[in-house]
Amino acid sequence: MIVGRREWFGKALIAQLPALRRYSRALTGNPTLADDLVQDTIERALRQWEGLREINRLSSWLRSILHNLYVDEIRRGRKRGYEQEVTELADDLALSTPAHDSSAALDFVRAVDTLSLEHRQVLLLVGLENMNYRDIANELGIPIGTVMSRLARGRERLRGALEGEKGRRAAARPVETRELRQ
Amino acid sequence: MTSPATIRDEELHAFIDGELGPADRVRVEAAVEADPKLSEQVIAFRADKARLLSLYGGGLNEPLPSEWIARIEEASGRKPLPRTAWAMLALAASFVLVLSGTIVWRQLGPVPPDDVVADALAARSLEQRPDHVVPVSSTRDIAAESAVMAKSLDTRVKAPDLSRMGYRLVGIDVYSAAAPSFDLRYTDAHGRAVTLYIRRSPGSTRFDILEMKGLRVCVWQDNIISTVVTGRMSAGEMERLASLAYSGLTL
Repeated sequence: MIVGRREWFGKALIAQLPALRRYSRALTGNPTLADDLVQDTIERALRQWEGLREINRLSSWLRSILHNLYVDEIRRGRKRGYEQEVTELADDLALSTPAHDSSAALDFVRAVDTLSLEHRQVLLLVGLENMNYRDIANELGIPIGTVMSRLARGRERLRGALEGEKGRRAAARPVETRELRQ
Repeated sequence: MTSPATIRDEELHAFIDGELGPADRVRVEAAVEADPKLSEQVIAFRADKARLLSLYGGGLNEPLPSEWIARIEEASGRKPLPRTAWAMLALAASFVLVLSGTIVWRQLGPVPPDDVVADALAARSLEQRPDHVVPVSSTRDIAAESAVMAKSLDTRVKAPDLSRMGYRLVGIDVYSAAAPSFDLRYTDAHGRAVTLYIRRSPGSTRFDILEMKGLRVCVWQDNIISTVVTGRMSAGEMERLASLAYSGLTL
């Protein structure tokens, strides 16, 4: 039996989907949009998979596709039920935490949501995907120093939002066009 | 939030993430211990990092939408069905001819002397003696050897976990004479051995499942690394194992 590369790619793609979906939810804070983005990522990956030369970078490649699609969504100004979705995600996550901790979980999700896209992205790649700085720099195509400064600023803003100090200034979600320019 | 002049914010976070070299780590650690405010910051940032993982880190076992799987399987494997039985028979016959020819060629075709498959088979049979043999008995060993492997090959790889198919990593043979290469040795509960040979790619791409010397051999090569999985098993089992190994190589 000869297994085609296409078939094997399909299996590898399926194996990556749980982690990609998790990342998408954390990045967007919006479960519906997150699943739409994963679905669109699947379509694009199936169209472009032959351009993937580095098999050990599949997860990075998929995240890059998803991120680009998300930026497109932001550019198009897609905000469908946004606030409601963030609350929904926060509620979902809070439900999975001990009752005494649920309000802290809600605060945390909302605080993450105040961060710019770039800051959320780096925080998640370090904290959720457990990637090192060098690999993040390679994935994002930026110097390691930029990864470090984005991470430091992102964590400080998250802390500030949680403490309710800078949080009030950052409470209004950053203007999306500013996110794209940063 | 600011840090003392001697410790930059970026350094503090690199310290939290274990990204500093030994000398800088010692320096930042000493500063943190000496400064209660800095120490509080480190505790708070570590707590935020842990909370992020605990809140968003679940969901990996959640069922995926069936339409996603169906779409991928449709696009990656199955051909559209012919409309008539005759067309179906003709198509099946042509596939048999093409595939059987391919299999025969792959089973009997000569292997170039510098071929990665030949080297992988020599490593498996120990015809080529390794420079180092590294026994593996803990996850810490695996992590340490994965780091060595990634550094030697200058790319992001790690020893894949094949336990889902019953194989446990027991050792890594290291070859460093010509070009760094690694032969990862796995065994299952019945003592069946599987090896995963990894080295830098010559730059070309290749994909094959072969049968050689009574072994099933799967080679996948991109422009960065070459990998060869070998074992005594069916083609279907090799397909599943190689897929698991491939997925596991990705960090």
